Amino acid sequence: MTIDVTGGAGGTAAELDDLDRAGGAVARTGVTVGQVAASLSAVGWDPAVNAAAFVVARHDLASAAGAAGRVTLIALHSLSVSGPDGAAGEAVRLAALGGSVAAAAAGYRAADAAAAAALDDLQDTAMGLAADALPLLATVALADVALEGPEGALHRLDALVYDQPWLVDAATGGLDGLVRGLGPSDPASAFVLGFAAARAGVTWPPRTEEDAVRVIAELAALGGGLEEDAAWSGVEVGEATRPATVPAPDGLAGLVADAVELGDLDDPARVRVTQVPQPDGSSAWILQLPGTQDWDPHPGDNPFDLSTNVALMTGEATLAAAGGTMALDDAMAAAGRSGSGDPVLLAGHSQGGILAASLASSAAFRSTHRVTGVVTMGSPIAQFPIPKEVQVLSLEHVQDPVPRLDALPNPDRPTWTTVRRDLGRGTPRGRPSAVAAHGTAGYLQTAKEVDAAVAAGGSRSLTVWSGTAAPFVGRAGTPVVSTDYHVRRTDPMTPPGR
Amino acid sequence: MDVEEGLRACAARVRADAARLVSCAAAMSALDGVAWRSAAGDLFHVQAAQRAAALRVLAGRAESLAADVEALAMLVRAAEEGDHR
Repeated sequence: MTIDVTGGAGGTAAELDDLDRAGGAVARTGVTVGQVAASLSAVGWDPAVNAAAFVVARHDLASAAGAAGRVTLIALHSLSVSGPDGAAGEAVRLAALGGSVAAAAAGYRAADAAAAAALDDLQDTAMGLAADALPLLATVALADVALEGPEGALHRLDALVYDQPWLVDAATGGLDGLVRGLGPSDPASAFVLGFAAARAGVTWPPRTEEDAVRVIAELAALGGGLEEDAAWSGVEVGEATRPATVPAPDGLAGLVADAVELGDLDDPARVRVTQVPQPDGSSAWILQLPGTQDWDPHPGDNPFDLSTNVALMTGEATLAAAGGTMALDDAMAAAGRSGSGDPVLLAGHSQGGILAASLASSAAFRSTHRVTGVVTMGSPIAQFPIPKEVQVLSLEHVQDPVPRLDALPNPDRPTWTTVRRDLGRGTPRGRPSAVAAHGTAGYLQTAKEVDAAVAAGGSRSLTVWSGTAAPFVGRAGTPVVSTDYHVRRTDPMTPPGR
Repeated sequence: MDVEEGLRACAARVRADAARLVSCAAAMSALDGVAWRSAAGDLFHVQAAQRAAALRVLAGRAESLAADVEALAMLVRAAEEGDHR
């Protein structure tokens, strides 16, 4: 088994939440034991206990001494069981233990936050220095292309990113440092970057990776690319196939198999809506979104393109997300389940995963759809504010650069499980290739390993996730209705300056 | 309330306290499931187990105190009944 599971119900955050609960439970137990101590100490002063010897003496003088001895014994016993060697001492020890546990949880969190901040500063500094060295790096790269040709240079870059995936972390994590570093390198760069930042509404210099991406995207838009809303204003969906009754997705691998099919570029721009009937007569719905299919910086009618990637990473609305929503709504309406509150799982590979995270983060989308799960394959979605009640499963390959593009680790929380697989030397292409590491074929194998891990029961996080995903992928053999929709941008606008 | 009734009420309170201590011990034992995998976590689990054991011992001592109070109540009753006879 080569998968590594982080986050989720068995993750660090869940453990820290567990510690918080444990500290609270110990402290509450201490308070209860303190109350018991007070109650037990009162026995020695109880009026009935103290009156007992006198009552006995009044009725039976011979037994009076024995009764007085018992009263004294009870008073001493009461002091002993309630005092420092008894319940009171135990209450103090419990309070101290509860305080220690709470302090430990706070300490872990503080150390984690400090380490994350230190790493981010380090990346920014490194990329600031890289900006200074950019002319030299460009010269070296050009020499490389001249010697090996563009294809050879790309193969080397592909292999380099595969072997050294941390380079992507360093580059994207220090993007704000890089953009800041480029500014002072010469007055012309400073002017252009400052202008782009102003147009993007970003205060110069950018302080976050997201702001840096906005500046770069605005820079590209100045050159006439990457702006969807400058070229297109609408989107339409049409059924690509008649609704088909097919077997339900069998586990996570069944879900990822759909992503493999949607990636078929002979029939592009499709999303898939699957209605999974439930035993109680309701349905669960899966909206599967494809990855990037068009890398032209000038947006065409296929919305699953580069401009959508940039818009998603800067938090803008996209026609691709609107198209996916229309497809889901159409399928639910056709089944008479509009407004039913049926659970919805959003899934996708690469850009499809980003779209899924974007929709799950959208309050407007959630107001009309009960999103209970998100499954992504090779998608950078760490910065999306997906609500905690939504169960997220992120599949990533160590050598896949794409999920690293947001420069952030996925949140460690009880409802967000991240599965990483180290491909080692065995990529589908038979040689080190970051591009192959991003492909759906590798993620299908990863999904099979996750299903095997769920069956083996070795990971609490995966076991809990599997339980929540059961309405969608846990009904193997049940017939489900699967409908593919073509999504196309409509209403082309004349790009400015043409 | 006469003295014997007062003593029996007192013994009942002490038994209730003993039951609360048993519940507290169970709550501490339940912390065995806390996933804290480190040297500090191991120490926590040892201490939680020790506290649970100590609370069970305390509960036993409280039960014993309740029995003492009940015995005193029986002594009072015997003295009163002997006088009536």
